[in-house]
Amino acid sequence: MASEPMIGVSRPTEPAVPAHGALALALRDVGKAYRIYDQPQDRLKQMILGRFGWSWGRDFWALRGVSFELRRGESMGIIGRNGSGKSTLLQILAGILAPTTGEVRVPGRVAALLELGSGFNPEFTGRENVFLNGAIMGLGYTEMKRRFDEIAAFADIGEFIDQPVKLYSSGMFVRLAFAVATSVQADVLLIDEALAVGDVFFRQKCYRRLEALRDGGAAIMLVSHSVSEIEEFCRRALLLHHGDVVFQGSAAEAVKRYYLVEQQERLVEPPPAVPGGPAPQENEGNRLEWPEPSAFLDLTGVAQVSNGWARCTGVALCDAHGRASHVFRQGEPAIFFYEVEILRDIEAPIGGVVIQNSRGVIVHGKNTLQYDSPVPLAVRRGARLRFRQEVTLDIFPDEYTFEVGIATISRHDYDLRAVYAHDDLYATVTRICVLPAVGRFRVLLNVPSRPIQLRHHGVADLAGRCQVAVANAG
Amino acid sequence: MSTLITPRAESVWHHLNPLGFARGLWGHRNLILQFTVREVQGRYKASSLGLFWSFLHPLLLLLIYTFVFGVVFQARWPHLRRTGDLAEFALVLFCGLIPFNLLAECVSRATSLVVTVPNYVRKVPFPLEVLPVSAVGSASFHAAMSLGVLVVMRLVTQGAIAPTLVLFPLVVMPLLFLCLGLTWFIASLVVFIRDLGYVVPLALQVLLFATPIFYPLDAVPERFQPLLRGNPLALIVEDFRRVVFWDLPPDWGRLAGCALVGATVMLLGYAWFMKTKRGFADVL
Repeated sequence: MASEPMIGVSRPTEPAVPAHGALALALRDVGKAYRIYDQPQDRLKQMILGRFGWSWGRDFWALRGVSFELRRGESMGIIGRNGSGKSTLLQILAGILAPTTGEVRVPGRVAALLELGSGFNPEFTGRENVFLNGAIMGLGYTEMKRRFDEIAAFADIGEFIDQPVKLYSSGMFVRLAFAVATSVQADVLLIDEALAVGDVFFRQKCYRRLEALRDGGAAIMLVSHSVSEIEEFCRRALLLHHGDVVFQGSAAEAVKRYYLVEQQERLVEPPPAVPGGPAPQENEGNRLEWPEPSAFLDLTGVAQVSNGWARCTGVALCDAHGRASHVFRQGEPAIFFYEVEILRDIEAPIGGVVIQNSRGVIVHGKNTLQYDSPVPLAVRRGARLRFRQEVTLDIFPDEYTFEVGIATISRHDYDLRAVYAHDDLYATVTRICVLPAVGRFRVLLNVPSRPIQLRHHGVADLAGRCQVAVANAG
Repeated sequence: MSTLITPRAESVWHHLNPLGFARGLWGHRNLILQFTVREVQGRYKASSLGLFWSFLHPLLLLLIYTFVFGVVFQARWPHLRRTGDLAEFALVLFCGLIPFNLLAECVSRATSLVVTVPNYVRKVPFPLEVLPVSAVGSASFHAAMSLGVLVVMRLVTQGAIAPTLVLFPLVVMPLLFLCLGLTWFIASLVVFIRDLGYVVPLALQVLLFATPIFYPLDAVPERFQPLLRGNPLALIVEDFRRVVFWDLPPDWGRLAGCALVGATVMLLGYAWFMKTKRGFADVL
């Protein structure tokens, strides 16, 4: 077994408290209904006279049937469209809203960061607001005094800490609010889209601190519209849609289902495939180098997130010689084979592979659109598509997982793909089958290695060179 | 620190328990102190005269009242040591105004206490019952300052300090209870019935004249006396004047009655606030 040196590398740390640690949060059938009244007075009438059976107004269910347990050291994300109930759930967990049904058990201290500077008094200075927020969370003056320097250091707003908070930019606000919320050593930390305001350096700093807190045993619940951040940071996730729990489980799968749900809402029926399309390409599939059936991964336990238009029938990972492998040396090619059965007429297919490292960082993802691979412009129902994707593993020795995804794009949009802006192009793409975390592989150091064993730091070994010359002194 | 969050609200009896009430507020004493201090500071933080307004405001009003009632109406106060002395008349007026202003300030602040901080209701798990306490606390601070001014003025004009001043805390207790109870009650009610914000200033105007501030209680015609005696503030003001100005001990029986009424109002107001607290987030 090749040794893996740790010089200059931060290895992913195991949480100090195991994931099967003490219970941090338990929900049972939690729901929230708002009563909508036609007149404000009706609300008071309902409150006082409601016990006699009369009722005014009607119910609107913002959240329904949420149950889960979160242990210390775990992180869970909540994703969903606007209005799906994410913020409502966090407000209930924070103790701000009373649930209509169910119950929540929280054995420890909760710190919530629900809105930019929500606990802040605009007239008072940052310093005073730190103590104020500490008091709100139940911490006395002396306790906050102890933590003050650390908070000020993290927030990094310099002398503005003694200026009224109303003068702060939104970035300064969130830095201070985050610093306070994460310094009180809470057992449960609830964060609702507060990080979206900061710049990328701030977000990185925040996630590092969240990771440190999580390793220290805090349980973290994160709501974000940036599903990629949820996928990277959280192991589990909850997908909400109009107040109902659509999915609960691994974050990777939840994110895929989120795209599907979101897609469902704007889906347009593709026109039937034109008969007699580029038929020659259909036969090419049989000429593609294809591994033995024994090389294929067992897909029985693997989740397939699909909208029903396709089904993945085989995934294999092989080395340069076509043999199934899950261990590679740095710099070697890895060849991904995947086969998909098309269950409904589509136009141009798109296939791709995404590789993630052990920390959930997306190292490399590329699809046929990006390779500009020649693809058929129409595929009929019942056809099988085979993909052979070769990737040179110029990446750091680590454990990696990969996922396979199939999508489709209309012929019209495909022809115009060069003209589209990135976001617009992907808005026209319809995901039809994704297998998150379908397989894993390891990359080892390439030994013997020239000139030295560790050929680069960090995730990617990018092509390049460095030249040195001696400049004359004076 | 285990918490169980359920849809079932605690019963009203739970909040009416005096021990629970005391324990709850004591638990938040740090927050109450911080908020009270900030409120006192904050009132004058932005102004250049600062804390000086605390003195100036009551003094200016006093001057106007003295002029209108003392000079224009030439009202007479039967018990004055030196009849016709305008300075003494002003002091008596001032003495009655202090407890009234305390109540008036608390009650009118109550109409904006909760509705102006929707953040504390919807975004942060905040013990909202703390806000009325700090409002009463900061109003008490200003009342204490006015009292200080009164004592000094009396010292200057009459060369005397009431020895009964030490009994002052006993007299002010029922007033504080009353203020707290009313503030809790009104602060909560305003959330649901915004119109209350218009009713309160009007009611205070009525109360100003319905309380024996510009006249002694005895001066009121016999048939109206029971009506005025029903106003707890009237009795408090009378006792206040006795202790601070007339150098007399308060009417103990009357004081005990006021204390009881005050304490009841306080507990009921608190229970009302705690019970309706859950509904705030749905409205604001």
